[in-house]
Amino acid sequence: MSFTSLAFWVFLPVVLALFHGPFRRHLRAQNALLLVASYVFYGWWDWRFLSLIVVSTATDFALGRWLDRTEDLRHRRWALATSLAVNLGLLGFFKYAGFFIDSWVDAWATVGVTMHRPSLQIVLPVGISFYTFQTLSYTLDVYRRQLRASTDWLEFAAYVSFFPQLVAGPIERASRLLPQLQRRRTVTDVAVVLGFRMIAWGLFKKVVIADSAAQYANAVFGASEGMSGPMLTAGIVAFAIQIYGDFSGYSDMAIGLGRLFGLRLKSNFRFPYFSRNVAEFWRRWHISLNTWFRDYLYIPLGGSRGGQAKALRNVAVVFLVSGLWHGADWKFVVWGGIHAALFVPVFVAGRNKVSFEAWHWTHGLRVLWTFGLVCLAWIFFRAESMDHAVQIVHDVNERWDEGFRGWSRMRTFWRATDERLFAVALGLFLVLEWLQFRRGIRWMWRGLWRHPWVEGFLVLATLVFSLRNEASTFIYFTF
Amino acid sequence: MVRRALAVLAWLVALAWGGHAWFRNASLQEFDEAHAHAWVLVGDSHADDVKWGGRPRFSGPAQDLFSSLKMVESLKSTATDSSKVQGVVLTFWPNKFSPLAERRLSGVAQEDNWGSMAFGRIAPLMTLRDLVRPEVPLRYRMRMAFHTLQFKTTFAWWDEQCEQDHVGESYSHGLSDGMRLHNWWDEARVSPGLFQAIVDEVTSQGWHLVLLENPLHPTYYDQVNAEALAAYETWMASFEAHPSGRVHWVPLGRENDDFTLFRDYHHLTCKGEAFVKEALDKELERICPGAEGTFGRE
Repeated sequence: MSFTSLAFWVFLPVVLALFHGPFRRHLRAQNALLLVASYVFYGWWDWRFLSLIVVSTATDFALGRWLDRTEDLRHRRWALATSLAVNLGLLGFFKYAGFFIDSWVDAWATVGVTMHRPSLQIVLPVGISFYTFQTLSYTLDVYRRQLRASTDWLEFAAYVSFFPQLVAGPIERASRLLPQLQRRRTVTDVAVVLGFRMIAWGLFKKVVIADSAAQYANAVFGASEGMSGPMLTAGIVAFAIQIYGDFSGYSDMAIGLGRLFGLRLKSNFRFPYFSRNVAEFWRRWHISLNTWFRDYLYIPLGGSRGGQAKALRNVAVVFLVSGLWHGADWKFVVWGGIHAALFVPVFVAGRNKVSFEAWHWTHGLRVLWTFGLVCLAWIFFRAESMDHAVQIVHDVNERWDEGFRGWSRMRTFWRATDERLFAVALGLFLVLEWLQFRRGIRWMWRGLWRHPWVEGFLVLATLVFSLRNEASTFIYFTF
Repeated sequence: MVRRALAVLAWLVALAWGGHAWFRNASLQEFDEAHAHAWVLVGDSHADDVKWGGRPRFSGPAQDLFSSLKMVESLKSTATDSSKVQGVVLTFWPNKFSPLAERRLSGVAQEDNWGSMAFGRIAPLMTLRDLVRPEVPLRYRMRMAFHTLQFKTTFAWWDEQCEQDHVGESYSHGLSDGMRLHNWWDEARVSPGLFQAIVDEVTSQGWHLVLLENPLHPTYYDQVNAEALAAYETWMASFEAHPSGRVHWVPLGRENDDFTLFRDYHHLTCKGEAFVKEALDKELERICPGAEGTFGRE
């Protein structure tokens, strides 16, 4: 079920009515309702894959209890290893089996050995990268004695599968979400209004901004041959807008939905395209994943302890693994590698830990430069293959003087009125993003939004564009 | 919270109403401009396959009969004494009564992008009266009303383009079982009524209605249900005897089976368009000799 589907907007009021109606006085009943609703939400795509969530949940619940009870270090390591094997095994099989086999066959082919390539047709379960990381964080925290194991399977299962963030994050830590599921939740009118505002804003970002920008991006990446450098660049920028609107829109909706159930989810984006260097970008983009890698990969590898060479190695490992997390393809590894290469100079200069500087207008060029670098990396993220990405980079460089060649192909299904509407919406979006960046998020949620016409406008814009654009799924569902 | 929700809803309705009024006004201006010409072309993608010499063409892929009816009504509602319009050319073929056409007119959601495409084109012309008109099922009317929120302008095509690439000599296209195996004409419930409404609308204004049937590839006639086709042709022929004498059927469907005329089994190449132009030119000249802006004179 997608947040932009009609089915979801029938499903949500029913769940909310039950949650705040007959179930409101009973904590366990509310958790049970959230669990059932989450399984229905997930099973809507393919109920067979619910078994994976159940396996992951049962494994980590049982191992967590064992880890909590036992002091025997050998047993504790076995428990942790089992959790890692189960969760990463599921992820590895469903997401990476085909990739590793293909890479293995291709590697032998380079030295002249031809191997049989088995035709694995493995369907990628939606959101598997998200919920496996979420359960892993629980087991790792219990192993480190940073968290007591949950004794209630219901609350733990509800934590693993909480539907607003199940398939595309934010990746919630157990230390943050589990306690909220253990105590009675009070949902105030203000929280409900705020929740709906965040949902409306997220829908606007997804349906109006991302899906419209996608029309340009898809036109360019779908048929990039013969397009001029400026047109290719426009397509790349369109993709940068699309992926931000798509993913941060989903996160906003997830956080807003959480509010409706009295749960506060982690913020996942903080205006990343206003970053002044790549390190700042990574503190503003997909925050829940980056802090996950920091806490469960970078620091265990040694972090910045042990000298700069080791620290740089650890940085590289984190970025490359992060790339692979996004997709089973070498182009994602290259995408991670590019970011590692861009991050290293900032890291060496010691500017990666500098807290967000106060804004000054002279930072504008640094923002543009950083945005340009991020867009360069997006080429590898979005292109159909490595060869395609390399070809686009080459064409951007070689065809820069070909003007607007290919512009008509970018305008599939668009007429002047459509483009004007999108231009107005995009302009409004950029202004609002900028004002939130400068004045703080509160200005948006508690200030501007006090006018009901703003909400009316955003809901209307979402309806307009959802009817005009062919419905599309969220990009991060495939990760 | 309830007051807040009502306030948001009130703004939503007000903005939607204002937006619709703005787009409706812009759309009707397109029809205003069409009155400077003797003939106006209305229809589906077949209308895009007609060389039309820079005259107004209110058409689009998969345009349904209700959309065509709304366009005719809008043309009529914007007519003034200075209007030069003599008639409407409507592109037409048997599939306008097919099971797919019927399903769409029933308001059933389609898996393709038809809803966004077809509803978007016509939505600005909707009025409150359209919500209670009996010719179309309620579900279609409701979907149409919802799609007024697409906020697109209904516009006329003025440009000309054609494609040279044609199908191969051995080309064939498999029609669906629904079109081949049974008499689908008997199941046509909504489309005949809408077609009749178009005829009435055009003739009551004193305009001519030319029903243009473009050439169809032989693979279509080889497969389409014979009974249904015969019923369709009888029905169409009956309109030529319309009391007003202003309904004219131009059945070019089987007039030329040269495969180089076709891009697929029902769309034409540049050569196919030239063939249609010649035949239509003669027909329009016969109906309104020397009319200003008559096809092919500019």
